[in-house]
Amino acid sequence: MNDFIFINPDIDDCAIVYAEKNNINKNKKGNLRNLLSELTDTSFVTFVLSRYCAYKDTIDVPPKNKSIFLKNAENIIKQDLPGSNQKILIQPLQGNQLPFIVISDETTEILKDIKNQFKIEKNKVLLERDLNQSNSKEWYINLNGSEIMIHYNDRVLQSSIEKFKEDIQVITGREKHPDLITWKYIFDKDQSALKSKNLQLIVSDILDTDQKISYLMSDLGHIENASFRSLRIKDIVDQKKANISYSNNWKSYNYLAISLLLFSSLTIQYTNTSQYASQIETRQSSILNSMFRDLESTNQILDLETVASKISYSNNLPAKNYIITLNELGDMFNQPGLKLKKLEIDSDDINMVFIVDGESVINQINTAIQESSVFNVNINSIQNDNQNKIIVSLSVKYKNA
Amino acid sequence: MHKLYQKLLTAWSENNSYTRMIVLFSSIMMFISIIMWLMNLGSNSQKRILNSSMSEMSNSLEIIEKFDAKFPGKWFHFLSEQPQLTEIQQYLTKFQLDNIDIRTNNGIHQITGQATNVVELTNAIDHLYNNHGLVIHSIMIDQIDQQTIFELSLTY
Repeated sequence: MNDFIFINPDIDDCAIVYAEKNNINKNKKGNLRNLLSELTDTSFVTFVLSRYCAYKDTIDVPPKNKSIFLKNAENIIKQDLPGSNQKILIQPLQGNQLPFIVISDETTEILKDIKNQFKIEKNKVLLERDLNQSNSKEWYINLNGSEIMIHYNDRVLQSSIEKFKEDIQVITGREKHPDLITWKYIFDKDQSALKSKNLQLIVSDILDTDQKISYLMSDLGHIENASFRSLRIKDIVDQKKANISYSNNWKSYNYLAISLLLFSSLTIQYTNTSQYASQIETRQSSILNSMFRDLESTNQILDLETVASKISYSNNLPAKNYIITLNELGDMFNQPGLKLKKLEIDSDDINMVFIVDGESVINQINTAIQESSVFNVNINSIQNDNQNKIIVSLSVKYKNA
Repeated sequence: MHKLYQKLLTAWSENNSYTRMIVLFSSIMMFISIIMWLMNLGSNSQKRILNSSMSEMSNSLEIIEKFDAKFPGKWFHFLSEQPQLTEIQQYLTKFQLDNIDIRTNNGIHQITGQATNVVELTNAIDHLYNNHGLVIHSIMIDQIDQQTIFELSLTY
């Protein structure tokens, strides 16, 4: 820990302070970017945010609904803050106290700029108050121009040379007196000692306490201590990222997976069922349209059922369609010299009488009878009439009857 | 109920906005899934009705197909009314059939008459079958002195 840079809201009023007392002459004030540019290695610089940039405080955690409180702590703290242009960093819980740091948005922007410009993100960031860890035994008084900061019992009071006597009387009247008060300086020791001489006398009049003067950076052992938790630039600058790990969100991830699975399976099922129904409807419609293409029908399904029902109950219809029988007989006996005299069709009985011109026609009839695959024909009689014609009487039956 | 509401409220407030977003999205998906499930119930019911209708239609088609093989084109005459006797007589006279006498007994129309030749008679029978669905029940044709005398039984 070599160099400290004190950051103020006024970017031109920042200061570089070296840890080594020997380098006190190098300490100087100036523009933040200029101060950083002068450093050869910026990776070890520790940034100290002034009390005008950030402050630390605590809030009591209620014993009931502790987890809810902790989840919503940031919003609860924000409600009590005067302005909205500040960022809140929640620190680890200490007993029933929740520490938090409030940093102005202006400071966050300054840190973001220098982080991007100088490629630094892991550098430590301290609050001014972190430098002086006062307790009931040891108090610190910082001298910075006409401004005086009194650190007592882990609290801070801002004072001035004019108001110092009054302020120290109030504090000492209220708090337990310390064993030691250390006056701290940053720049010139002699000038600081001179400035504090009258102030030390005021303290001596009030308290019987040892006083000493010391370089601000000479006693920072507590900061080096592993238990001291400092911030990093990236902690302040980076946006708070949602914790998306499965271990932290397993319930919601499982819920998401189940809902997606359910939704997908039901969607697929619905799509398939709809498609199937649509195919059935199309097929049905296609068949009906084909059946009724030349017919007028307002309810094709009902008409189809009506027809099927009427067919089932049609008792009067013959076993054969005799129009087809007539055509088949016509095809069989359509020969020259053959004339139909009589035809009877009743049930399965078919009787025919022909008038034939000459015996050659009888041979043709005989051939047709032999070749028929549909009918069995029985010749009942062949007679000559008195007009030189031959009369042939036949009985015909279906072969498959 | 109130306790459940309180528990849910507590669980909700303990979640960060990322988790809340997932839970909200999942809940919407669940809600849509319930609607999909209800729609599936309706769709399955419609599927069953369609299957049943298709099965009945197939049966009807099978009956009609068998019938049509025996009496081609007659099935669609079952959608219209039977022709009246006067109509049949009117049609027969158009085909130059004379001395027509028609009687109906048990749904069978018994027609007697004369025709100039067998072709006229068969044309009339074809017409009555194709246009009115009348089928031959029995037929007797006798040719005497260039006249065709017939006794025709038709049924619907």
